Amino acid sequence: MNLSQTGVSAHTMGSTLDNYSKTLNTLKEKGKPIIGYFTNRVPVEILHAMNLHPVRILSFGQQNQGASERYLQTFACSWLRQIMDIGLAQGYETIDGIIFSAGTCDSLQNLSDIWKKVFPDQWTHNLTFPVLTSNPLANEYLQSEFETLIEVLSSRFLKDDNEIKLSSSIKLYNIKRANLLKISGFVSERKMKYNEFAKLLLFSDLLPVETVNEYLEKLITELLDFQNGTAAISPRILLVGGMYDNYKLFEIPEFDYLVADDLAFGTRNFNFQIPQDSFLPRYSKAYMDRIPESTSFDMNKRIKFLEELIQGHNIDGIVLLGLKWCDPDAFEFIPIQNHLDEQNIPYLKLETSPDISNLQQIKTRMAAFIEMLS
Amino acid sequence: MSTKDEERVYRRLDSLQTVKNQMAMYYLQSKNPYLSDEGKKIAWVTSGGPVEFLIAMDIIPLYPEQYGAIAGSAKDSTRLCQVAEAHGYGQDLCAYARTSFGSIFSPDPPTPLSEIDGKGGLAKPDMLICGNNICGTVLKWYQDVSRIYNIPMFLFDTPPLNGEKIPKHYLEYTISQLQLYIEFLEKLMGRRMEEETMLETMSNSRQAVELWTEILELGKCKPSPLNCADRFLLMAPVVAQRGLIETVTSYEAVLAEVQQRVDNGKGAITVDETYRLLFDNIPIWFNLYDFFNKLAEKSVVFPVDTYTQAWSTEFVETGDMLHDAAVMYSNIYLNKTLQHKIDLIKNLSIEYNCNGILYHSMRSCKRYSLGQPITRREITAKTGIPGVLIEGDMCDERNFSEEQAWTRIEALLEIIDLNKI
Repeated sequence: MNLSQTGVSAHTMGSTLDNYSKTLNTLKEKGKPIIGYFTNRVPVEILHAMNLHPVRILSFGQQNQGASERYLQTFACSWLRQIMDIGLAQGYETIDGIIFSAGTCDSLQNLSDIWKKVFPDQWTHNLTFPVLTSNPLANEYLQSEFETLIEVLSSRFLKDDNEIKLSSSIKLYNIKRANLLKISGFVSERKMKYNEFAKLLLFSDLLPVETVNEYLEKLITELLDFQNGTAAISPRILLVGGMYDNYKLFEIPEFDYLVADDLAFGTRNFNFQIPQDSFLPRYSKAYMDRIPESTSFDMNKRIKFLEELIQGHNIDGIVLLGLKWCDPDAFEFIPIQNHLDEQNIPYLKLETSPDISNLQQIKTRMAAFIEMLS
Repeated sequence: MSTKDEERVYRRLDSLQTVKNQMAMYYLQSKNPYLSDEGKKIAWVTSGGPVEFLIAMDIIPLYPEQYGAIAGSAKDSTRLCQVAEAHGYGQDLCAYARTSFGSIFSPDPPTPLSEIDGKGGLAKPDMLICGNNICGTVLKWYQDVSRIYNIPMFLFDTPPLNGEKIPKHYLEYTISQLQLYIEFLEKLMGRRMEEETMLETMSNSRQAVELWTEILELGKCKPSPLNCADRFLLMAPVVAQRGLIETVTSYEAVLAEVQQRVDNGKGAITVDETYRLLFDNIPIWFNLYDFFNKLAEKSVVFPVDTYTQAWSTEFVETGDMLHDAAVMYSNIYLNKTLQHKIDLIKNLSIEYNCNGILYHSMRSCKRYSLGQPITRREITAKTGIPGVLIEGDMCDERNFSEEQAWTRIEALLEIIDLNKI
């Protein structure tokens, strides 16, 4: 199904994403302070409950290529360098504050300090998740981190001491996640192309959750009625990676075989629910128990999750998509590859940067991989 | 002193041999743990890991990072990196990690330390102790070693500090891990940790660190009694054998000799100190003496560096050992903010009378290196002390262009000359 058959066309989504700065300006006009974030380790429900608008910071859009070299050496993560290039070209003035996920990878950890020097007028906060989630005190620690976040956000952005009603925000985000999970099922059934789904995912992390939910529900209704899937086409490919987010790569025909992913902005961002009545510490525990990020301690948990995706989506082959200069990707792919070798599951390892400078090479390798699987 | 020594541009430190002997015994014992006792266990530990607990439990701590330095100095690390790359570890990853994986997979000894047992590499570990207070890379690195050897790993998770003060919940979380750490070690060893032994180990550790700090501080004198290469070699025991009385003894000998140099007005280099530079980051191990001696020939001395300063941590003594250890290990240099690093480099440059700073921008250590362009500009703006970045690596020779580095260093020396006019 083409998204143009629904309320919002794929073109509109692409345009919204590509004109990120303009999109933020439009959002800003609605009056809520905008809070940017990089990873899934930011409790968006808290931001929403505090009448703030959370937006995922993306690595594509108008950029001043190479401008970041003044601040970041060339061996910094290519994704973060590009984000810095974009910031130096367009400015991030529309964003009222940024929450850094500290203690994740070395590039992001150092960027949080560098950012403060490059954009000194922007409000930032470091939120650090525990890595050792099995520690009995880990959740108490995370609860304190969330409490500190609420405190600093209140003091910076709230005008009065209104009670934070977290449960209604949790409900809205749970609906969004459940709807995205349903739609991922349609992608698996080939009723929707993965590249359109990727756009939808990124789009859904920019617009207000209420608007997104309305749209997703409409889309689900239409997809339920849509009878012309192409479920028989094979091979069925699972995309495995981390922070990569430039959807344009998935628009080349070789990626039409994708039926699922475990990307940070993808399945790992919607395949969970938070108990609706929870407040701290149950809320922080739910965040801690999510599907692990690449930088987390529990590698076995990630491999188990991959196994579930492989079984659940009847996968024929896997594409490991790493970012240039991303240490967690480079390290984690090794045990994943070993696991796939043991299970005799074919895979292709690709590496690129957000500007996809090696697009032609990727196309050729993907074509050969598909031919091999077929 | 022989005629040959007189001709050298640097002065040999006799007590360095004491340190070398101590380290040789250490590696000999680690390769033959049955010689010394009835089957000591071996732990691989990161440089920010709490080693005192291992020593108190009579476990031999070994440092893959230090092995990287040994392999680098022996000019074998690049080959080991290539072995790791053949096993899937990308060339962009930490060269210490690649050297370590290379030594695990290398089918072709001799690798460094093979002279001890013919096998090369570090002795195989029984457990892994990983402290993420130095970087996030060690977490993924040690996870993979744990998978390869199928051995237990203890993660010591220290949230990076956002300022000079440690928040209460950070401290409680870190202390709780030290309690778990003791339980982990006791379970593996099948015996309790003796409080008295632990206190004695901590006391030795404190003494070693204090002596190390005293040795480093003598670099403030003119001429500087130590150069970079001296300190990089002398640091081995304070990294790996902190907590043992042998380290205290070795450092007492080193301090006495360095103090004597100061008293006699003798510097580490035999020529005038025209340029006193601060060195930032891990050294280029595969080029250690060549690099610093070539600079010494140009009257360049390095009275101070940030890497060896990292082991001159201030001890907190409240009487609560776990609390004090948690504070100390949270305050590790690389676990602190960029602003802290800038302030430290600025203060060291002033205290040690430096007229220039050499930043080693090392592609395989992001945590240490990212931020250096800002550091350089900010310090120069505040103090007038110029600095340059040279690109290189601690272990991978393919990432170092000597000519490029020299061009930049010469530019720095010219700026310093101009500043004198």
